[in-house]
Amino acid sequence: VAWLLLPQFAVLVLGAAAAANRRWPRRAVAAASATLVVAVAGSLGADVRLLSHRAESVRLTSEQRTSRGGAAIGVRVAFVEWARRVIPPRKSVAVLFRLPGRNEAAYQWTAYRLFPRSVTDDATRADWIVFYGVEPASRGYFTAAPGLRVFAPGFAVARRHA
Amino acid sequence: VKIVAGLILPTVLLTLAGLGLLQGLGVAGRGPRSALAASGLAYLAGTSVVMLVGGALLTLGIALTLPLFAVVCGVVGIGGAVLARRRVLGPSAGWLATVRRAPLGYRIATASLLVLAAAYLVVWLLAFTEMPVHDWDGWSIWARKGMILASFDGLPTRFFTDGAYRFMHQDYPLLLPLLESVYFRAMGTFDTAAINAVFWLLLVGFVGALAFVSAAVSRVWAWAACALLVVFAPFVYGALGTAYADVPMGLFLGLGVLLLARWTTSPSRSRDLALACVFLAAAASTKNDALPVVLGALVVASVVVARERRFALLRPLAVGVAGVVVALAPWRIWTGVNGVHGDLPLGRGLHPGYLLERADRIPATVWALIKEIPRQGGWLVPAAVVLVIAALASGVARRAAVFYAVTAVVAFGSVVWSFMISRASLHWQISTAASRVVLGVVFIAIAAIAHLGGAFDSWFASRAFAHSATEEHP
Repeated sequence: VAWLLLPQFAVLVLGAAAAANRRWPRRAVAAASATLVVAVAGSLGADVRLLSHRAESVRLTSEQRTSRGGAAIGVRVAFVEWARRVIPPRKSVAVLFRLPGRNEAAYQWTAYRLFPRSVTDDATRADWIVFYGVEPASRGYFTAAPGLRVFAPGFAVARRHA
Repeated sequence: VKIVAGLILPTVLLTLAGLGLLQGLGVAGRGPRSALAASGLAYLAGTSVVMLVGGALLTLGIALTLPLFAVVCGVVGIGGAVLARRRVLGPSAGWLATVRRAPLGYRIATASLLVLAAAYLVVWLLAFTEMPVHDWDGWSIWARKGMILASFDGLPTRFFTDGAYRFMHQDYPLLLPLLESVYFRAMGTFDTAAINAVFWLLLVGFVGALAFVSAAVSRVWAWAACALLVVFAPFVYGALGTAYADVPMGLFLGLGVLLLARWTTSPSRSRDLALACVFLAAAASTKNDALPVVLGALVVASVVVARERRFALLRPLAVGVAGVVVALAPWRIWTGVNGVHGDLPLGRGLHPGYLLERADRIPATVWALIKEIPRQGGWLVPAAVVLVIAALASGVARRAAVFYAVTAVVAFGSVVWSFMISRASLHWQISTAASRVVLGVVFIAIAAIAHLGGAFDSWFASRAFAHSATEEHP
């Protein structure tokens, strides 16, 4: 961001010079030229950084790019993408966690990626349960229960009306 | 190809709708050159009006589907064009004309900087359209709401009233999600990388709008300097790419404030007042934060007018305020009827005892916001402060300078007040929001630079003219 202060500063200097000198004497032209060089340097610095961000993004796989927001806040994004493939669209989903209350990051990201499925706080009214970091058995779902699909220990989904 | 077409089609329709509106108001002239010069302002005006209408329809349960979107654009655009037939429109080519009139030195310097800025904007577009929205509120609030609105025929009450979705701030107004939903529908997919292009288009539209509005009163260097300062502002590099609503809100707010200030100084231009009210309503329909600033700006304008005993002007201003209220009412009524509340304890926030109890939050808030202003705006706010002081000292556009100064103080004060009354911890507020909420002040600074820069330019030009006339005819 500091790079961008240079072209901004150059614009101010050029603006002031233009306002004050209608005909631009030689000194003003020299100052304007020097300032333009500064502006070019600052602008190109920002361009280079943006292009390197782009190159980083291009190197990622499609799934990594899609899940970047969740990964940045520590969500187990591979599980969420898997759940997305398992749970049919337009069903309602309740997300359960190990501790009482919500893991906000995981909850919001799961709700985001599972859309158009809707989330609900009331697990008894949901079509599907998502177990995020909690063993289904601890919530009364046995591994042999019909409709239970396990991604990894503590990470599973279950169809409630199986 | 479908994604590119999905970005171009709504943009063209919104621009045409806005162009009709501008012609109807007498702001833009006829002909392709005028249309090109006014296209940035037209895109933002079209977006504002069409999304305000679409938002009102949404509260009645009518989704802004693509056919309906096209119809609304058509009605706004054709309605404006029909009105324009009754008007005598000047051949205004806006900023394009001032470029041709400028001396060669100006043109070379300005062209060099504009090429740099254009290259930077292209690189920005290339970089951000590779990245799906990944900043928290970008996906959790704004893109999510856009996806919801694009997926249902109407306003799906469940998502906007159920406690399970309270985290997405259900009370926030819907202009930006509605705009995103139109682009999602047109693209046929929820491509949140491509949606960054919409934020880019809004910024480019704003830069064009600034140039168009400023060119009416200033030479090329003044509007070009202002436009370039915006393009190279740090918030473009950072905040714009987060896909949060703060920058779009600021764009509408900045234009609204600029046009409102221009009306207070040239009240015969009632079209400025009309357009200002459109943009101010759009700002308050983009983020709740804008509402106190919009109200503050309108109150300051009325005080400026009343103080000079120009009471006849209070009537058009009252009509404009009524228009803003009508534009904002549908969403406020809908949230009221459905029991949707925001996080801020607004009732307690006006209670002196509560305010006194939380007064210890003020110093840290003020300091945090002051530190964020240059991080987001770079030299914008310092430049605006210098211009305001110079205007107050010299008497050039003093009325406008007072308007901008007071409005900026109101904007800053409203942010401090919201931090003060919030139930959230101050540390969390500052770390998550301080960098964004100062953008209102930054955009008021941009408006001040555009206006006061133009005024000083005219002043310098008239002094130079007087000087040369004295030399020729002593």
